[in-house]
Amino acid sequence: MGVLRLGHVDVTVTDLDLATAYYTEVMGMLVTDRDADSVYLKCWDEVDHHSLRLVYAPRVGMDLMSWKVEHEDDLSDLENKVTRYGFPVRRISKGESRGQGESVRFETPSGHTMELVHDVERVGRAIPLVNPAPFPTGIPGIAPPRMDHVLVTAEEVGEATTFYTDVLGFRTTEQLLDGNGHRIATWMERSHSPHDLAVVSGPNGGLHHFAFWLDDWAAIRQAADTLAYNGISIDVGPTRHGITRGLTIYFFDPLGTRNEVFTGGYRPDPDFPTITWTEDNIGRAIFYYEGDVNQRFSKVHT
Amino acid sequence: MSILRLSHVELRTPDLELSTAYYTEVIGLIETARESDRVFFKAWDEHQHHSLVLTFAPTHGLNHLGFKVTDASDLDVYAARLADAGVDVVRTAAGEWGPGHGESLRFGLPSGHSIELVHGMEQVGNSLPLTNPPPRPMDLVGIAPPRIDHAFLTAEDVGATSTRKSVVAPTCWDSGSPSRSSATTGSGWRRGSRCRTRATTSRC
Repeated sequence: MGVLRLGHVDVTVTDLDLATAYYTEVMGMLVTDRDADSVYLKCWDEVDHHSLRLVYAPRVGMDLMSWKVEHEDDLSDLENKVTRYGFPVRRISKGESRGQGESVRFETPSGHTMELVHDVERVGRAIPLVNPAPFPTGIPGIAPPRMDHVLVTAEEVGEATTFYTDVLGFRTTEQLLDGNGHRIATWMERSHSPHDLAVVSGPNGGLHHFAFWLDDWAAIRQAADTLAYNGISIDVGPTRHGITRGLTIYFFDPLGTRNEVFTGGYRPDPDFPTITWTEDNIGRAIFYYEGDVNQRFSKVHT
Repeated sequence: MSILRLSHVELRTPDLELSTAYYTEVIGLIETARESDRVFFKAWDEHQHHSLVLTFAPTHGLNHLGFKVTDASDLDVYAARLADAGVDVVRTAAGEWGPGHGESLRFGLPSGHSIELVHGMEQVGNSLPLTNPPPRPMDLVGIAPPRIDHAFLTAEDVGATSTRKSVVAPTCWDSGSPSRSSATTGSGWRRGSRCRTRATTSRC
């Protein structure tokens, strides 16, 4: 019932070949499809057609975030809710987007294009369904098993959060409040994880980062080795978040989009009480070990 | 809406003090309530009153296994579905079965296990504050796992046991964790296994 999890992120890149080389050879994703202006990729443990679409364009940013819904009739149910809230919804018919059937799209109050889809082409994992090994072989780079979450920026975090929670059924696990009690960032989930979607104060329509799941702290350390070996610009980490309790590294792809590798956290029930962070604790909230947030992390988005 | 996850396990033990010492000092669970013949525990990151109950008895083994449902109305839905399937159900009110316990319904599986669906167990909070919490408590002892995860049962007819579960929850075994409950054959999952107990929680 309702939104299941993040499906795919579509980001624009100014150099499709360079971006593809990075996401396949350093990140270790697999190319599943190509068309005239884009490349479709997935992680090895993902079943669906793609979790990342790279689209050639003159600027870098996020075109679309696509969310998978649990049942086919969730599409019309959520379409009605979004329409009633006053945001026009477009139906995208089967065949218009690679690797998926009918979907609905709309602009959110935070200025992001959001898609909901149920019917997605299943291309299978990189391991068999009979007597599978617990990992695939021969995939270069970090090779995360799956995409995890996305963090977007919004001018009015409270208003954006209300839309995601009241209309789309997201649940707020954690919030960061300023001295006046206004929300300056929120973390929301649908998949019993600390966050599937987070919103932080910034310009409407912006992308702060999207994140890949890794299985444990050892995998985070190995990812740091891979990033350093390949000369990738590391933003912060390896370190730990106070918010979400996650273990993390932030870094930039060669075109300037921020990526994260993430593990840890907790498993909230739907009745999980929201955790509150106060602005005077923002350092430990964001980076628990450093107790400080650098300017680049706060200000740079795409 | 559906079954959410494994809620709690109730085990029999012939030595309540020894078992309590093990589950608190080695496993590192937190004792939340105690009666003359029962002790209730939770793991540190759990919000609900208990995820393990030890009950004094002459033998080791599993008394029952509880699953949390998302909504109170789920209990009616499952009760009706079980009645249609000809399964006897026992319902209890919140707090009736034990301290902090929620409203529940209980029934038997063909494999001889007693299964409970529960809603509204008392929320006692995890061991951290809700404002600016550190990522873990600093006073934990033993292994100190954050939460219960899954149970693994044995059954002579694995297929029949899974079918009963599908009567209860045809869409419920898919919320993101690889398994909440599994079943294997009662003769051990490898031929020649010497382990022939009713549940893996028994001493083999």
